[in-house]
Amino acid sequence: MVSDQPRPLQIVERQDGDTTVVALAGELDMETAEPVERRLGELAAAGRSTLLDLDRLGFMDSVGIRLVLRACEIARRGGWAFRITRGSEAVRRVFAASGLTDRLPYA
Amino acid sequence: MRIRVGIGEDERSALAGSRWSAWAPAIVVVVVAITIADALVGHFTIITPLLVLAPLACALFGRWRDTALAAVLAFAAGLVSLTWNAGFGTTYAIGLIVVAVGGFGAVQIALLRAAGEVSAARFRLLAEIADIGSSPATLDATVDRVLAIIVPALADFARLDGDRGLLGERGDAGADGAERLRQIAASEPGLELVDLGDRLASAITVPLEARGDRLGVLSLALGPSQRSYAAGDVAFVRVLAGRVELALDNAGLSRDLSAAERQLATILEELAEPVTVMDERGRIVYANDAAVELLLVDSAQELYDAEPGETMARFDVTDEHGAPVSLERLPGMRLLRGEADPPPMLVRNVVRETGEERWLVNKASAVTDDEGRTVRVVNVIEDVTQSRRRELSQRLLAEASRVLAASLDYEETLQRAAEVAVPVLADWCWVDVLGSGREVEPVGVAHVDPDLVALARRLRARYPVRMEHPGGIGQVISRGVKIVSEPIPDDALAAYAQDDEHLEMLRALGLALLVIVPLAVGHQTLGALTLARSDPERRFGAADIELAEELGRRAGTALLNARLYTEHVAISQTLQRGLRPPALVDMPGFSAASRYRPAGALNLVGGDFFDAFPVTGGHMLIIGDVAGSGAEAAALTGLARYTLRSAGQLTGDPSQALERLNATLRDHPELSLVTAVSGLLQPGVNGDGARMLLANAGHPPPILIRDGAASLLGEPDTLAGAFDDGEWGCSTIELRSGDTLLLYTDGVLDTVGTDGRFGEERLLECVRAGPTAPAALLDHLDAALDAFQRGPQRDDTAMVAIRYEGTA
Repeated sequence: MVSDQPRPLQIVERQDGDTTVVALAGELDMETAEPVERRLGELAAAGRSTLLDLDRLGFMDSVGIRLVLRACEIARRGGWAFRITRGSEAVRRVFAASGLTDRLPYA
Repeated sequence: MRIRVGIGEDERSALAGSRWSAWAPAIVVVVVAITIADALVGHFTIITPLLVLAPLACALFGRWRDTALAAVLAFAAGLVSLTWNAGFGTTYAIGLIVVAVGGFGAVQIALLRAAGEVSAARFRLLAEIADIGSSPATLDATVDRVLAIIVPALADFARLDGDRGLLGERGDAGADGAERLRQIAASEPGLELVDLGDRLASAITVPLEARGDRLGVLSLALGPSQRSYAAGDVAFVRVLAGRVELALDNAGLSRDLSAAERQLATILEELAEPVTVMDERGRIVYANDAAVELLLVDSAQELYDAEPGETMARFDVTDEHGAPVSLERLPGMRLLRGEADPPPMLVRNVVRETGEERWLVNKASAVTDDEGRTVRVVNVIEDVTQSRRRELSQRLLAEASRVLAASLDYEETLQRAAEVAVPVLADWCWVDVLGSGREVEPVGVAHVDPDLVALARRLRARYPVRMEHPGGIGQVISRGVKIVSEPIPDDALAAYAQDDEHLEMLRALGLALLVIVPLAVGHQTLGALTLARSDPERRFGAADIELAEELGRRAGTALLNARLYTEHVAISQTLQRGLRPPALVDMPGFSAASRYRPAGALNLVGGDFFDAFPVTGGHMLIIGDVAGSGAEAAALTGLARYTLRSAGQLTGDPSQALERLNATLRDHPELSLVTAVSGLLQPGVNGDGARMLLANAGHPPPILIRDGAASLLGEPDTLAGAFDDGEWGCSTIELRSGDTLLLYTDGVLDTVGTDGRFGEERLLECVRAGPTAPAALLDHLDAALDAFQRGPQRDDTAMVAIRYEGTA
C-alpha cells in the first residue's frame, strides 16, 4: 500500500575516506525531506566533504530539487565540498524535467 | 411435713439472726406468771394446759431457741404444778401431755420458720450480689455494694482484699479484729474460726478467683450481733463468693473496658474527621468534636437528645447528581437495616440556614455482638469539599476549555460554555458580548429547563440590554469588575423591570442570586458572564466566584481568539482572492478552460498559478509552480505571477519573461524556486493556422493533442531561481484548427494512488482517450485523478486547456 501511509525514506550514512556519504533510499518529498535537510545542514556547518547518494531513490519531487539546490547554494557560498551522484532513473528524470541535468555538482 | 428431731445447719446459720430474741425473757415471765396463777387458783381449777401458749406464740414470732426455751420452761412449770394440781389426776396428766406435745410442735414450727427465713435470706443475698454483676460499675462501687449487702445481713464485719491490698471493709471489728482477720485471710483462707478475739467470735474467709486468676479474698466475721457461723454458712459463702467473683470480674472488665473507651474517646476527640456512633435504633450515642462542629450543634448532647433524622433536617442533602438523599440511603442506616458493607456515599450537603455547601463522604461500619447483631454503627464523615470543589472546578474548566476550543464560531462555543456551567455552578448562565454599538448581545443562555431558556431568550429579544441600562451587565463590561449580588428582593426586580410584562418574565426566571464576571482578556472586557441561582440560600461561595471569573477569562480569551481568527480569515480570504488564479480572459480564436485545486480546504492559496493576458500580437499564457508551501510560497506565487505578467506584457517574449522571473527570484535572500511555462499565442498566422512560442523553465512540458494523438512539447530549460545565469529558449509550435494544448503542474503527475504516482504515461493515455473540448477534457482529467487518488490530496494541481478554433 502506498496511499496515505507515510512513505519511508531511509538515510544511511557512511564514511568514504574524507567524504561522508549520505545515501537516500525510498521517496524524497515534502513529508520525508526534513531530516535529510537537517543532516546536510549539520555536515555543511561542520565543513565535512559530503556526497549525497540519490541512486536508490524511487521518487523525488520539487522538494528534492530544492533540497539539492539549497545545498549547492551553501556549497557555492561557503566553500563546502558537496557532491551528488547521478541518481536513479526517477531522479535523473526529475532533474531533466527541471532543466538541471547539466548544472549540478556530480561526483 | 418432715418431723425433725435434730437441729439442721440452716437453723444455726448466722442468717437466722442472734440466738436469743427479746421473746426469751418475756417467755420466762409469762411461764412464771401462768405458774403462779395456777398455784393461786390451787384446787379450784387447773390451767396447766395454758402453758402451751408460750412456745406456740414464740414459734410464730420469736427465734427457735426462744421457742425451745419456752417449751422446756412450760413443761418444767407443768411438772412443778403437780404439787398443787395432784388432785386433778387424769386432767392434770392430759394437761401436761398437751404442754409437752404443743411445746414440741412449736419448736418444729420455729425450726421450719427459721430454716425458711435463712433460705429466703440466702436467695435475697445471692440475688442482690448477682444484681451488681448485671449493671457494670467501677471496681470501687462494686466492692462497696458487695460489702453493703453482706454487712450486716451475713456478717458484722467484712473485708475484701485484692492482690495489691485492701479493696474495702465494712462493719465494726474492734481494735485489732480487722488486722487479725487480714492475717488469717492472707495465711489460710477457707477456714471457719471460732473465738477470734474479744469482739469477733466467728469468721469465714474465701478466696476469690476468676478465669483462673486470683482476684482476692473475702473475709466475713461475726461477734457483736451474738451470731456465729455454722457449717452451712461456709457452704453458702462459697456460693456467694462465686457471685462476688462475677461482680468483681465484671467490674474489673468494665474498668478495663472503660479505660479502653476513654482511650478511644480521646483518640476520636483528637481525630480531625467527624465520627458519630449510632445505636441500633439510629440514635446518636457518641459524637466527637469534629462531628459536633460539622453538624452545627452546640454540644454532643444535643445530638444524643435528637431523634434520628432530626439533625439531618437542617441540611439539604443531595447526591452527586442532585437527587435528594434521605436518611435511609446513608450507609449507616443501611447497615442498621442489615445490608452488608454499604459503599461509602458522597453527598452534597447544603446548610439550610446559611446556604453553605459541603461535600461529604459518609462511611459506616457495624459493631456486632456475639450473635452477629448490629448493636452500634460507627459513621466516619469525610469532608471532601475542598478536593471536590477543585475536582469540579477542574472538570468544569477542562470541559469549558474543550468546548471553547472546539470551534472558532464564537456564538456556538459561548452557548456551549454557558451550558457547561449549568447546573454544577448555577441554575442559570448567560454569556453576553459587547457588540460594535453599545448593545449587549446575548450569545449564550443555559438552564436545565428548555422552556425557561426559551423564556429567557424571548425576554432578551423583547427587552434588549444596553450598556447604559441599570443592572450589572453594562457595569461589569464597562468597568471590568465582577458583581456579586445579595439575594434579590422582588421590589428590586420591579424597579429594574421596564413594564409589567417584563417584571412577570423576570419573576418567572427565578433569579435569587447573581454573580456577573467580565469576559476579560488582559485589561480588555469583551462581555460578561452571568451566573444566577434560584435558591436564595444557595449562596455563591468564594470558590464559586473564583471559578466564575476563570470561566469568564477563558470565554474571553476564546472570544478574542475567535474574533482574531475571523478577522484573520477575512484578511487572508481577501488576499487570496487577489492571488488565486483568475478566470482566463477571452482569447480570440481560442477556447479555454482551467481547473485549480489547492491541497487542503483552508489553504486556498497554493503554490500553483496560471494566467492569460493580452500582449502585442496575441495573448500570453503562463502556468507555474512555486516550490514550498505556506505563507512564504503564497507570497512567492504572487510575485512569480505578477513578474511574469508584467515582463510578458512589457517584452511580449516568453523567454525574456522567464529571464526576468529568474532575476527577480535570485534577488530574494532565500532560495526561491519556480517552474513555469510561458507561451505566446498568435492566431491567424499562416492563413488559418496559429503559432505558439513556448519557453519552459523546468516545468512539466505541455501536451499537444492533435487528431487523437498526444505529444509532449519541448524539453524544459533550467527552473527559475536556481542559478544567477540561465537561458530559456523558445520553441515554435504551429497550431491547426482543432489542436488542443494542455498545460498542468506537477501536482497532476505526482497524485498518489494505490498504484504509485499518476505520472506522465497515465496522463498521456488519459488525454488521448478524452474529449478535446477544453472544459470537457479537464472534467475528464479531474474525474480520472479523483478515481486514481488515494488519501488526501498532497499537492496543488492546476490545469489549463486551450483549443485553437481557427479564425473563421
